[in-house]
Amino acid sequence: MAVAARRPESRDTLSNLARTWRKLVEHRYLFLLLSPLLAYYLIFNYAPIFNVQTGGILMAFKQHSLTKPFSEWPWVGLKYFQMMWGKPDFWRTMRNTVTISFIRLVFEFPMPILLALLLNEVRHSRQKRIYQTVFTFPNFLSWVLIVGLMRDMLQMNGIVNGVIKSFGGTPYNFLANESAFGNYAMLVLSNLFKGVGWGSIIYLAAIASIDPTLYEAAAVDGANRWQRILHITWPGIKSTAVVLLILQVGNILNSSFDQIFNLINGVNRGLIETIDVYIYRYAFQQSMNQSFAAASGLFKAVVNFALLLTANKIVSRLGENKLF
Amino acid sequence: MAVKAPTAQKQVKYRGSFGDRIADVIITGILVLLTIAVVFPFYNMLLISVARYEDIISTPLYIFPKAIDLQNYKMAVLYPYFVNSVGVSTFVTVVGTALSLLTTTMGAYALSRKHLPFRKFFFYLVVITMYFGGGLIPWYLVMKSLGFVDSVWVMIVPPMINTFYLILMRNYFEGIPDDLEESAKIDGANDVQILFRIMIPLASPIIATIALFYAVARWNDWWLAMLFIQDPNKIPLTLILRRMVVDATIDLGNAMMNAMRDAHIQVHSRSLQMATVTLTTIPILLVYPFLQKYFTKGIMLGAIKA
Repeated sequence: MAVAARRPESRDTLSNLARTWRKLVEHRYLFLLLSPLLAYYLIFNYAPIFNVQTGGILMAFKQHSLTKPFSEWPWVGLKYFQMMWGKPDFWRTMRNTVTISFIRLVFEFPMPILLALLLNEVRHSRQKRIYQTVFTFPNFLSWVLIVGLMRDMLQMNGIVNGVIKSFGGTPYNFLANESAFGNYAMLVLSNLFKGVGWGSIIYLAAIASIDPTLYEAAAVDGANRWQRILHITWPGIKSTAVVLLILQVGNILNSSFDQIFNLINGVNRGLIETIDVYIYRYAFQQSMNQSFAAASGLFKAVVNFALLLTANKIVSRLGENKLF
Repeated sequence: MAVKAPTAQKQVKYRGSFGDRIADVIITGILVLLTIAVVFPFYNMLLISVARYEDIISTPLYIFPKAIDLQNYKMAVLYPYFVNSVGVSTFVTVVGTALSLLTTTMGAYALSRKHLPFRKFFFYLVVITMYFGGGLIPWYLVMKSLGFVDSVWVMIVPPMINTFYLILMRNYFEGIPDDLEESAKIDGANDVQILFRIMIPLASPIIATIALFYAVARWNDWWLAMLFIQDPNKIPLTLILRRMVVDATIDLGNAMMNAMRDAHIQVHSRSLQMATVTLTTIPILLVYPFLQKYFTKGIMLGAIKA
């Protein structure tokens, strides 16, 4: 009885397998196209997580050793996490990361919106294009290059201090000082220099998709320019702004490694070292304790994952298009 | 839709009232100031790169050129491994972009086909990597075990596929009508033939956009080289630049010292740095018009729901 009952089921599994196999064979050319991509993601994204031979994320839970192979490292549980939580420089770094992200949210985030609104008020499309061409260009340069430009202008004999001196002021060491305001202003301004034009493109695109008849109707009704911005343009880009804002909050732990890494030095480290730079320092510059660096990396990855997922959930709850 | 609309908006003629004209002046004023702020660092770059040593030393505020001296560029080119690094960067950019495009296009097309078995699974496999990774050290150790240390390929293969661009391209392929594929299938073409003969020509706008993004990223990369490359013959230009301007380790090398002694010239380190910065910027400047032509479209395509 039981055997008889099981039989059709197993035949079902078999025929399912056969059907899957036939499907795979039928689409073998698609798999041929897909295979380099799969190999890439498995090797470069999944092997670092799961590879048992080199350690993967398990490294964070084992006693680091330079002489023994990974398989012989003893388990130590959360030792390295506790070590990390006990370090004052770790908490300093976390505080810096959140502070810098918050400052960026307040002072950087609105700027592309304002720039897009300004550019939208330029009536000659040719002029508008010239402005856009200029503002977007720095986005395509690497931070090494931008920091090169900054260093030349901001050094003691540079052009900025030259102006300060010619007005009778004392030159200021912009690149190495312990002023929180000075350092954060430098981060914000240089990031705006690089990215504000690029950031405004998405808002300009949103503005461009606003129904032009709305503007015509408003003009007929005698709405002035400010009213048109407030009641037509701004509502047209608000949802884009909200989505980008939430996504940026989700990215609070990712605070522009390239920019900070190229600007950091012994003097300003206490103010601008963020978590990514910290992990890099412990991994390659100091102590070479791989387990400790892996533990702080894993800690960041997990918190970051939770933040990104939450941000994405909120965005989709709002009924907006998720970016992914 | 996005491309057409700016002209549509222009059709609305605002009769310029007095207040409106004042606002125009203020808006233009702000934008001109911003333009100056963006252009000035590049002006300073060119200014210092063609300045003579004695002019920089003797002028407290060097803001207008006293002379245009291309000597600094000659010296920058003599910087140890400079010429070599241009070759490395060019190789990495050309080969890297080609490989990136090939794998991204093939993978994006496969992921865009609705009849791909386990399509959802593969897609999530890719997307999850945007949210979670193993971290720097585990990744580094895998790279090391694969023999990427001191290999030029470390700048080409590990950054080969950018997930964001992959999804952009997949979205584009999804937007191409199905009947083209179906009729080609009836004619007996397989998926590989369909991709290369029919789909790639149709997707050329997005492919061009992403090619430019990949090329700029490869040219700008310094981080991978810093982590993995020891051999000075394999260092790319951006890393040379970083050593000059960020580490400020100007080790001039014998060729350069001799050339400077023979020519009885002195070169200010700032001039040398700015000449190198200029030379690194030029290739980006050259492709920028093409980049600009496509990037708005690229961003708009990205906003389409995945």
